[in-house]
Amino acid sequence: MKTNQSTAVVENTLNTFQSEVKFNSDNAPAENPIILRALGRLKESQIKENPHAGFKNHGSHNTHSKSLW
Amino acid sequence: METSIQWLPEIFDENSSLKFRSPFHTFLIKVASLCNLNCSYCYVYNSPDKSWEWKPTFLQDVTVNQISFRIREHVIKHDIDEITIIFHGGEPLLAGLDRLKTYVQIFSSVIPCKVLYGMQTNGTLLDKNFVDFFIQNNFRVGYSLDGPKEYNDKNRLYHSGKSSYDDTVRAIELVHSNSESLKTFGGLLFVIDINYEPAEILNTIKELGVKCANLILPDGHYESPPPYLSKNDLKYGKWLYDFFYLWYNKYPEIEIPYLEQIITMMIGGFSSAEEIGSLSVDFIVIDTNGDIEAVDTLKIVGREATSLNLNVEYNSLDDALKHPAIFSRMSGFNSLCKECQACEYLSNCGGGYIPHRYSKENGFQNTSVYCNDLKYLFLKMKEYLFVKQ
Repeated sequence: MKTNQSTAVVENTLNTFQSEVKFNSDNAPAENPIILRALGRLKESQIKENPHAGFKNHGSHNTHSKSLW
Repeated sequence: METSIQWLPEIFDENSSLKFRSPFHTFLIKVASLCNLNCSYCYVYNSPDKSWEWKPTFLQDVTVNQISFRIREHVIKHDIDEITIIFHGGEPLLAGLDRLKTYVQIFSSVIPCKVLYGMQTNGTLLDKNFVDFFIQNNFRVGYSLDGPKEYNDKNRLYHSGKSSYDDTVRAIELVHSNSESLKTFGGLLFVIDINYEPAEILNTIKELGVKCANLILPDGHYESPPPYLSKNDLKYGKWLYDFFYLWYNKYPEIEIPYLEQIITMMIGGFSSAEEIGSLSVDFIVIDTNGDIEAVDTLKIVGREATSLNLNVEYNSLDDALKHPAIFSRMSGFNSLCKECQACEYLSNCGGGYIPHRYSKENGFQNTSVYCNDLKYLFLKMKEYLFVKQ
């Protein structure tokens, strides 16, 4: 199930790991498609003004319809 | 609201949790209360909650109208500009094309905002007419398949015992046959089994030409643990890491949302899925009889966890927002047990998926039954992807 991203939630759940994290360039080079997608999702996560903006597609989903993600 | 299950901790900070409350934006509608498959792990038909036996087989027009007006009421009250309706079952295609058309017509005409449609199906009944309907109404449809035939046949069989594999694959191929129908493809969903080889699953996904496939952990909780789960041997954690490693290094073009959500959370983002992370869950389930439920997978716990004693005939959707089964998932970390709240992986995990946290003694005030395995996965992924600080 896709979930709501209110400003309050963003403030509460942004973790401290973000400021400390550095990708291991051997295992996680910037051109890796998975890393690129993760960075894209990070940007989406940081869209605070519109709770539902930035998602890849339309749907919220629960676990048993999560292929709609 | 009275409930016998412990949804919240004994000390619950109501005030600080209020800021996480949200109106509903996604409505998972049960359109069929039966299925043409008899999957051994099914959380609807092979679960302690047998309410499907007395619920209407299909969503009736009168109930669709009641649901539509409740959603309309909710949309107007909360000034919502876009919602998603997901058709679910049972097997939603059993409702047939005429019913599905009627449902869409009613929802789209009554609800005064943009309505996006989705469906989760086993695909066995899919034909070109359904596909055309999906295209015309901009559906996004997910298909369930557990990997290669040998794996899929272990659990996903017809009631006769016949394999469903070929029929689901035919549906996936049909949807992939042209660019218009491909736009309706939401992805593949597969339930893992730690006896399966990750390579076989990933190979099958690749051979089918599927670009997005999501994994799901077997249902289970402390009273009815997932198969093979043991507190000390971390079988699930190891399997998940093996799967991650292979996918990451050999199949990076395939999106595996569950794992990608974890990576995103590790770099400071959020999971947009309810099973991991801790953002507010802004969806609601409505059954074929109009009953309002928190999340259908709670059926693995039993009727006492599924039933909110709310129905669209008598209750607004705002009534549901007042139920602890709902608002406990719109309370940030406040509704989690002490152990979760103190955990170093809290922001990666958010307590895991709610049905996995259930025990008779503590209700949902537990860590996930997969807790140790998830910690192992997080640790190994961090070690692999990031420079140690």
